[in-house]
Amino acid sequence: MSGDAVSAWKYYVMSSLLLALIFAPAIGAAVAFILRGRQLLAVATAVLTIGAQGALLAFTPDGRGGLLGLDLQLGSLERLYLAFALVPLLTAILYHARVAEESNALVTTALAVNSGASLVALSQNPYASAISLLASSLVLSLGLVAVSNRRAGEAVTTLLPVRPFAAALRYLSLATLASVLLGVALILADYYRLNPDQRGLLKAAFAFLVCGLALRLGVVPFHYWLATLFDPGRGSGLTGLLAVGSLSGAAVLFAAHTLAGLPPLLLQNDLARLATQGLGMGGAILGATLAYAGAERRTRILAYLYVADAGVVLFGLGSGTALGLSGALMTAFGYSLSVPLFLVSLNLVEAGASALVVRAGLVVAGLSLVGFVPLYGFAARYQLYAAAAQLGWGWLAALLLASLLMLAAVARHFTPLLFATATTSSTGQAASDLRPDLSVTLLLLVLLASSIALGLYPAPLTGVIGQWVRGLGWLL
Amino acid sequence: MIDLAAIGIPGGIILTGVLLVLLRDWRFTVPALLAQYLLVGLLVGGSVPADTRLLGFDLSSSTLLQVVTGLTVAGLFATTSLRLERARGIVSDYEAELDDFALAALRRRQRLAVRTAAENTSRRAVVLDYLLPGTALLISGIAAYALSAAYPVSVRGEGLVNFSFYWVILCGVFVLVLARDIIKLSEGLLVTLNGLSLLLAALATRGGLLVEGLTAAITIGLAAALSYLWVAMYERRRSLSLEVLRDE
Repeated sequence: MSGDAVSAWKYYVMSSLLLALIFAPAIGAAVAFILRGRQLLAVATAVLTIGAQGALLAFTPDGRGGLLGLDLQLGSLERLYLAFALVPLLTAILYHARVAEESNALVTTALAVNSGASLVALSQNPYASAISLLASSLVLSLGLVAVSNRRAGEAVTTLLPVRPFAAALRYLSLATLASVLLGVALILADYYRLNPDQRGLLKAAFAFLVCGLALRLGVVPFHYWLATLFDPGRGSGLTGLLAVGSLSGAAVLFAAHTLAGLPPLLLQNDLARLATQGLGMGGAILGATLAYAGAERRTRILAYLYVADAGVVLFGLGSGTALGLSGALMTAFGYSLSVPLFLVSLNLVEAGASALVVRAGLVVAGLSLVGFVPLYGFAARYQLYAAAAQLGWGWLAALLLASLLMLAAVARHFTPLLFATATTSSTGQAASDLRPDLSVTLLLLVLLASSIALGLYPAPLTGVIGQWVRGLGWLL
Repeated sequence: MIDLAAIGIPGGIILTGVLLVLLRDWRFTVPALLAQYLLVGLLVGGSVPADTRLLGFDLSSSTLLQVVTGLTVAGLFATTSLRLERARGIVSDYEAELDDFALAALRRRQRLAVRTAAENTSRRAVVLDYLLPGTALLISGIAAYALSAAYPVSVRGEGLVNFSFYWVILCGVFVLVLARDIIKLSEGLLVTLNGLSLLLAALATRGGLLVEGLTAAITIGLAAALSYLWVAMYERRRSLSLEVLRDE
């Protein structure tokens, strides 16, 4: 065979593998939808799909491929994100199967979201990524209002709440608006590439990109949707888990790719960069204040903590520094560990579980989110502290204030749960000592160990992310 | 001589924006939405070269996609609205399964929603039905004019195209903000999405057939999802008013 034929053959194989990474969860979702009435089979399908995707991730080499004009690329950064994104997926399905049965569309929704997130990560076309983000949100919204599982012939005799509808509509509206903003940003950026003398386009594109991203991440004042996803009035907040655990990382990766594709967006926009840093830091402090002062359900407080952290991520992205971008990526990818650990531990403790692993999960997740030594969160937060110090001591002081407020919120709202007796649930009512299932305990242990291990030895992660960021070459 | 295409199409887009903000009955707003899709399709067709021949006409595939999307979206919304209108007074499967207590709670909520709607109608009818949308249109007009003068997007310098882009986006946002029922909210979302196609037309660029196809698919998917939400919500509360959602 000639050299060209070999290259073409390699390209086809690579394209097939990359498409399999995107479509394996989509096919799994379709099969799970057909089997939605049989929970065991649907869950087995999901587990098989996760296994297949894990194997594909492990054995597919770095490279490029494509189909019908859609360019796909798998590199170390994308591989890292996709590996992280399997954690919330697995958690949601395990929780659904072993702890609390959610709606019959949960498995389908979770797999479809994973397929969308894979497309966002692998696509080299930013428009396709933005559309995929919207499609994933659309599927999540539908999953939120899907009916609960019912046995054959069993009737729903109680009035179903409509709060999930409000949450779904809110999320759908925000996702659509965010996509419009991101779409306008991409169109203007493309037009700037053709007309580089029109500097105004660059400013407008950056402004639209930041607003779209702030909406997607839930930065104050665009945050209300996030609280309702974690506390939609029905279920265990697994939609929030998937939205933050999977899609926030995808949105940050999308933003990083977009910024990397057009360096002047950051480099020639000093004032806009400053405004972004201000919006992010202000959002972080306000979000942390909301979390501290809130007197709502604890799942909502948890959501506000992620609202605050979204501000920190936006600050990192807008900092224009290598450390800031690296810290933002690490933080957002880390949501795949911290959200499942935090939410599952919280739900179990509130249901009356007093096992050590559950309480430890709550402590580690809370402290990791705040950026406490020696947990995963600190490895990510340390880079953001360094970026803030690089920009000025005022920024560092503001970031420290936001972190302290978040720590105070965690201490105020979650510490009492640790000292609740086994026979008294967090609501003060008598509750039996719930023993979590072995598989859930194992999952919590793995998440706990990962949070600590990656905090103690973050070099593999910082290496991959740092190498990608250094490859850009133009950051401060 | 007046160029009808240059004035008529942007003028039509502006008119559909007025209808979508001012009117509340789906019998008028859904056709207005369809008309907006068709007009945006024509505008897109004028800005990019034709690459398809259909029924003897040279067309751009972007126009074709826009028209198909508009027809599908309007068809979905119209059939769903019609179905919900016909479902009035018919006991749904969901209602039939409820026990007496739940049924009583449902009736109580329905009465409350009707009462609230009636109070709103009598007290604030003029403000809500005409004054607010009218003011919104005025603000949209002034803002769109100012923005199109300060930041023109059309590469060929057509004032009306510039104006209609900002107008559509602002109208979409105001339809969303002023929406009192889920149908208007859905229309607002789709109008805002339509602004993206107008921007592409104004800049005379194309995102590529794949991107255009994906955009059309997600728009249709969004319309289908929203229609599903209308039906599911109506089955549970016999109302499409957003007041019902705020009450709980």
